[in-house]
Amino acid sequence: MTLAEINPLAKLSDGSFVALDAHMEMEDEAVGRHKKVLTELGVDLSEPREMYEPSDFERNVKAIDAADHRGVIQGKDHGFTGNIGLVIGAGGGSLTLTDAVRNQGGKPANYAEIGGNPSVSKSCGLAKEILQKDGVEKIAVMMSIVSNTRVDIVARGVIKACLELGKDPGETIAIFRIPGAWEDEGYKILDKYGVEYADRSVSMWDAAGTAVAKIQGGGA
Amino acid sequence: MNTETLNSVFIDIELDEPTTPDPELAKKLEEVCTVGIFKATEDGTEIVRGQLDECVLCYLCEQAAPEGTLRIIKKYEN
Amino acid sequence: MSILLNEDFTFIVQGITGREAVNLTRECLDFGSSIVGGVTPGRKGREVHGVPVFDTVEQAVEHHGKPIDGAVATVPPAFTKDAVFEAIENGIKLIVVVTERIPRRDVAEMVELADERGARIIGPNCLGLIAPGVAKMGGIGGPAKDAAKAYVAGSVGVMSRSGGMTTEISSTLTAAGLGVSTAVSIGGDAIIGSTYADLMPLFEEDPQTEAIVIYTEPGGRMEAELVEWREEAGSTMPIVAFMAGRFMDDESMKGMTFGHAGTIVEGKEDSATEKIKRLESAGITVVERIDEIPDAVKERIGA
Ligand code: SF4
Repeated sequence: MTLAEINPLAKLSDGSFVALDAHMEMEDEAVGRHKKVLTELGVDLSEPREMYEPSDFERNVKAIDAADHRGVIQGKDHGFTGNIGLVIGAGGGSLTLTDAVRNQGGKPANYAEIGGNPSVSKSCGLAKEILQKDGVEKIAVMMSIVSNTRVDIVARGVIKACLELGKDPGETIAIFRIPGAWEDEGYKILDKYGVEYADRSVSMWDAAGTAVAKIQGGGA
Repeated sequence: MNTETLNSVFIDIELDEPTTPDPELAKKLEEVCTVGIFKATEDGTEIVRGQLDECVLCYLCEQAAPEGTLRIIKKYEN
Repeated sequence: MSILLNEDFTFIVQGITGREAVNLTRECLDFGSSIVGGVTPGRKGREVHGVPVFDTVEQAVEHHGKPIDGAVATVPPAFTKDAVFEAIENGIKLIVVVTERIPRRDVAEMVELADERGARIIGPNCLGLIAPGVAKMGGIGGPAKDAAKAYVAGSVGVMSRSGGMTTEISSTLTAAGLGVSTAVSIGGDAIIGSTYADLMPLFEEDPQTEAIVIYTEPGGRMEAELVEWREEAGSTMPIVAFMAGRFMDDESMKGMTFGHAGTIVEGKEDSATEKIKRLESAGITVVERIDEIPDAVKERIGA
């Protein structure tokens, strides 16, 4: 339990108190332990309680993530309305890159997180979902330096996403900036498909800037 | 959701004919590959085409097979 | 020198036979760390990369013949509390908790016990810590050769709520010729064992460390605590902060969690804008871009 709030609280004429409404929050991690009491309280455990109704995009990404256990992908588009498709990671890297895109005038179409070395089909699925969003023509594939997630595996995934949608990877991927584990192997793949990429000497900020310039044009 | 899928875009495997029916080898290959590219069947080794692009280039399969009979092909290198 | 780790530092890996733990063990050994045992109940007698496996921490300590300094806990969330308790009860003083998604109450209990027994927890939900040229404890930086590329010994201490960004920032410091004294991935959860303020006194005492870089995010009170500590201790050690997740201040993002479990804007206090103001008011330089960090550090230390 992370929050318990009684509001409003009423005082009866006999001096006793009655809670007229109450609000409780529990972190997902603890739900497993309190199934019994939650059921008694009438909470439907099969229905995740979110702040808002998940979009089709969010639901689809969740389903792709659940399809196999290798790595994690997440996608959110609540509150995002732009045209820059972001295939980004990991936790902190995604926050940093989303800021870097926005602060250079870019309008992201979504937020995403790749982490824990996902399978090719997972990064492919995420990229495909993003590319199928309204108004998204191109994606930027960027992460902070990776040590577990493999550069070549993500490269395969995003290129495959383009090919499966009948798009040219070299045109569709505005920039690929994921330095780190297996980068040389990854760069070979990117070279073959004519995808512009950057190594660790190019900052996350500059990579995001390239994405903004290529997707939104000079006027951004 | 778009359902078109492509197989073997990046990786292919060549396994020489005489070794393919060997049931022992099939079992071994199924075991060593962590991404499910080999399946042991009654006829020996089946290569699961849909998994080929998941290959992590660990080469455990090449080491498990008799020397020179199994080759991982990186299609992006030529 | 470095903080927390030194050449003679010994540690065990709890849950050593798990897939990730096996990798982590290899990486740490290759980087020069001294892992004196591993624990997985029911697996006594096995070896992982030459490291002997025991059923209990007690057996590992007995085998080692003297106290063991640290433990890396990589066990499933439901068992982490017990593992950490076991390590503390067996005299271990530094415990890196890698595991994510541990119920908050368990974390609170772990931190409480550690406090009582004079032990320190790093994490949970972290990649551990690294002292370039000395040792690393946890998966931070990845395989030894990759870690050595991003982390070169130098004068800057790094603390980060994001494991991956610890490496990105350190790599930037290394490329700029400043290098890193010790980098600590402190974890991304709402409750963690060691906050910026908890670790600052150690960096203050370390003769190698001339400045600190922190990576921070919206959510929580950790930055406020750092500011309070700095004022109370009268500390003047230069600190450069990078704040990610500024976009979360938008009204449409309120109450949403991004990145890490602890990264959520619930009230005005924990928004990026508020935090930046607070940090700046305490003389901490806040930069907008990672690539601005080295120059900001150089300016502060007069290099
Ligand atoms: S190299 Fe490894 S991953 Fe690839 S097919 Fe062989 S065993 Fe499987």
